[in-house]
Amino acid sequence: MSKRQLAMVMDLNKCIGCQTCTVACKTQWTNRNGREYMYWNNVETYPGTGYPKNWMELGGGFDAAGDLQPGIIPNLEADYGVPWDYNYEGLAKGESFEPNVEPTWGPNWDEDEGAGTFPQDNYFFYIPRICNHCTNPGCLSACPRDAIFKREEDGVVLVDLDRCQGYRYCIAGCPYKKIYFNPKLSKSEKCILCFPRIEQGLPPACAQQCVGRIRFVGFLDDEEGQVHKLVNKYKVALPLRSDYGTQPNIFYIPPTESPVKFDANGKPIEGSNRLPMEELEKLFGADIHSSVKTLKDEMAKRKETGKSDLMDILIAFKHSDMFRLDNNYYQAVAKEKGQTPLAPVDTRYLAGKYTKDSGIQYYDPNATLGGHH
Amino acid sequence: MTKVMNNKRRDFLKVSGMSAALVASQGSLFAKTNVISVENGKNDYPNTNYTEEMYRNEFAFTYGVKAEHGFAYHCVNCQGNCAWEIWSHNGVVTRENQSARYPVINAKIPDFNPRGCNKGVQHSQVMYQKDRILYPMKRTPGTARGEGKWTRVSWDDAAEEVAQNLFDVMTDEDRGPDKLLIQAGTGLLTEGRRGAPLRFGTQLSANRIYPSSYLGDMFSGAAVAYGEGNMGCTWDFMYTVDTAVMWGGNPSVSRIPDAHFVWEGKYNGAKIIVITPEFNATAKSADLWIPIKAGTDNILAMSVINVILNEKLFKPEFVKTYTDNTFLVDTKTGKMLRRSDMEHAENKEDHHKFEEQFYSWNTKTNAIALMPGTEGSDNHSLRLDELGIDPALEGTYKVTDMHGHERELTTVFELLKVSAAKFSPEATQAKTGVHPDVTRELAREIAIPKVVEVTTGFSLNKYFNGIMSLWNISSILGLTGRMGPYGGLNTENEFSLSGLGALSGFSGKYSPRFGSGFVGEFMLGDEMETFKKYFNDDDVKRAQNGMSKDEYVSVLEELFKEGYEDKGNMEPHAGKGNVVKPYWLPDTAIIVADSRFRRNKGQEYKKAFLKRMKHWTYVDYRINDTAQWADILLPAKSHYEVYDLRTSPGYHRFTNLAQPVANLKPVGEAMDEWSMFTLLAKKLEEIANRPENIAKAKPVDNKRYCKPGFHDLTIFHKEYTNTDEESEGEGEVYLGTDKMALQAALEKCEQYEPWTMEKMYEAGGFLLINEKAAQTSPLYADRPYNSNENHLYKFQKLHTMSGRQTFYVDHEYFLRMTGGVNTGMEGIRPDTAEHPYVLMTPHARWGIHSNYRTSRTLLRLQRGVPAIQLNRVVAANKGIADGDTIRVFNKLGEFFAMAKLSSSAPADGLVLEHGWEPYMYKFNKGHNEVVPCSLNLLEMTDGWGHLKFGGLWDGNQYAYDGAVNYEKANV
Repeated sequence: MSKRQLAMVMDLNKCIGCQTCTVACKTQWTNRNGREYMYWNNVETYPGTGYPKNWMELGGGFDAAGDLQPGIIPNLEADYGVPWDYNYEGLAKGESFEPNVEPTWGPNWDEDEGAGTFPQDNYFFYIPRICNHCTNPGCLSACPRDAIFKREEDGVVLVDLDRCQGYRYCIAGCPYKKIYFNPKLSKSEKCILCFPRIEQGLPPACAQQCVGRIRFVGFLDDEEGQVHKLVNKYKVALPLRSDYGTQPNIFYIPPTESPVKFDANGKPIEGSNRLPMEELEKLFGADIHSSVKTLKDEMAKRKETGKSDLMDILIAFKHSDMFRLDNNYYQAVAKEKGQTPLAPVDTRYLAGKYTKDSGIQYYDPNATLGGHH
Repeated sequence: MTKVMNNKRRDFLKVSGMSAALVASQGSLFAKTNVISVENGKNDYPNTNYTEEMYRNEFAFTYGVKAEHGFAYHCVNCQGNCAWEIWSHNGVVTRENQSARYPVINAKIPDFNPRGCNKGVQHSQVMYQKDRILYPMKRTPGTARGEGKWTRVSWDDAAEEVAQNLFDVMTDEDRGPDKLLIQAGTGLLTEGRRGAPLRFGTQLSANRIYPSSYLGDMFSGAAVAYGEGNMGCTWDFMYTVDTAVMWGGNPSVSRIPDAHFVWEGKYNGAKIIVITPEFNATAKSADLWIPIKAGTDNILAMSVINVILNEKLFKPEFVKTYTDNTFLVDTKTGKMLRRSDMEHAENKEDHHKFEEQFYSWNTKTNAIALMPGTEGSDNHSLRLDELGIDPALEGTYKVTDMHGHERELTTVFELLKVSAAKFSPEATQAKTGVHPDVTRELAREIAIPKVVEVTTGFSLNKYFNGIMSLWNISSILGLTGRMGPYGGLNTENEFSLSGLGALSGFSGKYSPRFGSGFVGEFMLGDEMETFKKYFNDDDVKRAQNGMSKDEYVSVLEELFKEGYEDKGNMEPHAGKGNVVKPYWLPDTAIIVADSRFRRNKGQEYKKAFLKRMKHWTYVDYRINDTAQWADILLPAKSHYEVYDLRTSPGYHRFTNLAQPVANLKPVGEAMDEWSMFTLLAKKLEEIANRPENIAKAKPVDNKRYCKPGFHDLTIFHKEYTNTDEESEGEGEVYLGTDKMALQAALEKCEQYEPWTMEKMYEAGGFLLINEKAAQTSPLYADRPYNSNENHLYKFQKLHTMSGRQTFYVDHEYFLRMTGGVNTGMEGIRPDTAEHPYVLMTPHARWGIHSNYRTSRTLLRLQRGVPAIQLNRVVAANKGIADGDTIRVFNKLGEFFAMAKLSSSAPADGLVLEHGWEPYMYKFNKGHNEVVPCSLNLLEMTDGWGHLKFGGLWDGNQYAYDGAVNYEKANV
């Protein structure tokens, strides 16, 4: 076990599927050096095939006895999608704009399609996915070189690029298919939870740059933090497919909000909800029921009384407060290792268990007008 | 390099194909190095540094040096306007990261961070993409337009050719500025750089047309109601509402930076209602989604009015004070009773005023009473109590006019009741597809809660009778008392900025030939041909209340005659405002950041435009479909390479800064627009002063556009840069580069006080506009903004003829089409079994119109080619599978796209995000090949009260009036 675990909570009610996270991640890490086809962060429409295609059916993870399960390595063209390019230089020559490879699959192929009968009961929602930085990573267990590790200080899972030989057992072993083969390096690579940003006081690109403000980042043992509260106190944030046995450290506020269904005449079905509970249970396990109940109860309470601490957390009044990166802790870790601690490049997100609040206050925090309730 | 990498990927593909079912196991098969022995990678891994250092170095590379970071926003027509911090390494931009430093406005309301979207977050990639225009280029002599043969020329040579053409058109007695178009498109929406082409065009009194109108983004129905189409809230207001209605809007896709306020508002107790034909990213989380039939919004709105009236959900006191519902109308003629009907004016001026004064029936005196606050009234307040007026909302009355004729009068409200009676929820269900229970719920949800904001999407204006949708929705809000803190209509708020005319104008010395947007493009593109070809008599009769196609065409042709070169608006109408939509037919043009061949409808536009143009220049940073056809291409800098600032519109109260990263390495020979137009000005002045030219270098012009009566081209550059004697004398601010313009804007605009560029940089790339930016409500330091509080609390009049919210227009076209009041009208889209589907082209998640459409980063997150959502069941019945290429067609033409089978598309509609350049489709046939063009006579109305052509009143180019069919294609 790592000493501490850094974690993220994503609120699926607030996710608008804009993929700003996906692109922020791409420009930060994967637009170069053999990573072009990779999406360390992707957002998929559910129900759908996901990314890579049908990842939930490709094996990996552990069975109830704790044994690693067989898995399948996705195919670039059929499952990930070829990162096609275009004849940009031809446009000045009057050419039509054409992809160099006929697109047949991509990371967001079934965007917004959903399932059900239009308009009676069709539905969809989005699931953003990054590496789960599992406590019991399938990739780590699968690596014949033992070249995958969890960082002692924050539990970030990394591939040792010095020792990785590119055997790709990790890809088969990860049930989330969030580890990728870099054909240029002949090594595996994956989401690194932007640890170099975090160490210098910047939240992960996908989280800091999320314009839907759905992502909280902090240590699970930071009792002041939203991550701890949502996961451990309110128990509303749940891991995705925990049945794979890897103990993910990325958690989700499950979707609870959807419009009422219609009957065949277009009449609303009172009290109905388009999100099938059995689907949510498949994704988030049996705890979904208590999570949804807590969320719905708190929403009702907020509507009635104007009060709910849980809603206050999820609303996230101040963007910078969504991230508690505990910079003193990282500074101390570096010193302990005999390294020169890196100076933070930003001072807004440094608070944490071992770092007192650094938030900058603007204006009068006791200003009167707020919600009208 | 790209090719090499692709080969590698292919190799990988083969390998991974062969090893597709690797069984993972502990790796005893493979020898481990002896150097490191790892028991368990979960604990105390011995070799962390190598990997960590690699990624740390990579981050350090992208981050660069903080002190070298720039700031920028993306000045495109999403109007999001977000502050970005631009990272760089050694003068090359690496990526962008939101500044996310906007201050908290109120601790109990979510802040505006980290404003941005999926398009903005990748401009760094597009900036170096190979569709950049790098150098000035000239169509190779002897080759045809669009052939793709270019000769690279120097800036000096390019400027010489452009300026010579300008000189020629200006000094040709048969042409002059009437034949010159200088248009800044909406790819350049800023308070700084946009001023450059505007100033240049103004100085030449060139033709310019109104972008909102030709884009179909004009809220004309709101302008009828409120005298101003742009209104609403800063989006943090959404957090505070009880009900948010997104009518034709999809903020989770097309208002990405602000959508969080909606969902946070929902957590705060708000009810979210979405009214769209398709199921979308906003509908998916709403409380109530209303799957309306495309284009019937105005009919649903009438049904809502019907319910509000029947269930007495309206607020009578509000209606009496703040709307024209009590105004008296002659039951025979439909004309409102004016003071000019009751009294002789002493003089012409008074007569004109009397025509804009109106009466209500005063129940306190049982007589008519002249209402205060109307356009012609000297009393500018709406207060009635002090005047002893309690106007009757209902009833029929008789008065005798000044000619001794007895007139029967009734109230606007009575007429509204009669009109609305035809639209019971049961009666409209077949047309709208909305169940009566839903209509009633909608009416109650808008009428009863304390704060209700109705946001209308831009799609509503893109149907033929979209004007009625916006007007009817406005009337719902007028009946239910929604203004200021109680909510209201949210189209697109705009803040007030003063002093920026110093950049784009000449204090009235010169004016542009400002033309109607939708009529200008209609005429320039010979769109009447498309209209005549496509629509039949039934279509026109259905959409224009029984008027035949022949009569419609002849009415329009009369208006075109009047509007050509502004003729109809000159004498004898001088002083009364415009009475017709003016337009010009230029033959020379400079067009900046405007993908017009992508945007305009039908197949005729491009042909007609190119045929008219003797010479035209295109300015942009990338080769779009329009650029391919230019005579001269001038390379502009893009958003991260310039100094600039942007405020508008008013989704928030921040003005963002553009300041390039330190030591930015130039991209080709791209130039900022101020430097570019200053260079053109210099050339024009140089040409004018050449001995052979100097005699004709002061071309005369109409004083309506050019106060001196002539343009002195011999001092053109001096005037452009304010270095001429007159400007120097008046201490005008010097202009000539993007940075000078930015500084001038900060100096001239009082809403920017007391900020400087340096302070903006320190704050994180923005400033807060001050309270002077407020328009119709105060801009409080700690509250979201919403329009019309001053109207409500201070009884200030609106900019309408009645001074109130308008429910009645007695212009002849309105009387003929609507009976003067709100009504429901069907669209012009043909209703045929042959072409039973509506083509919907909503604003895109993946592009800002055509901007960023060609981004490889973004295209890889789509399907790489234009893809269209089809209803799963309908498409399957046609034998179409997901991924197939389909042919979409009607009698105008066809285009091809990839089928995307979806549960979110209605059975009778196709959903295609718009903005694709024609060159992105097979055979270069864009989707507008099947989209017709038309003009609505309601929007052609002019010369009536506040409905006079100008920035607040024009019309729309429609986009959704094509009926199509589709089939599996064999291409």
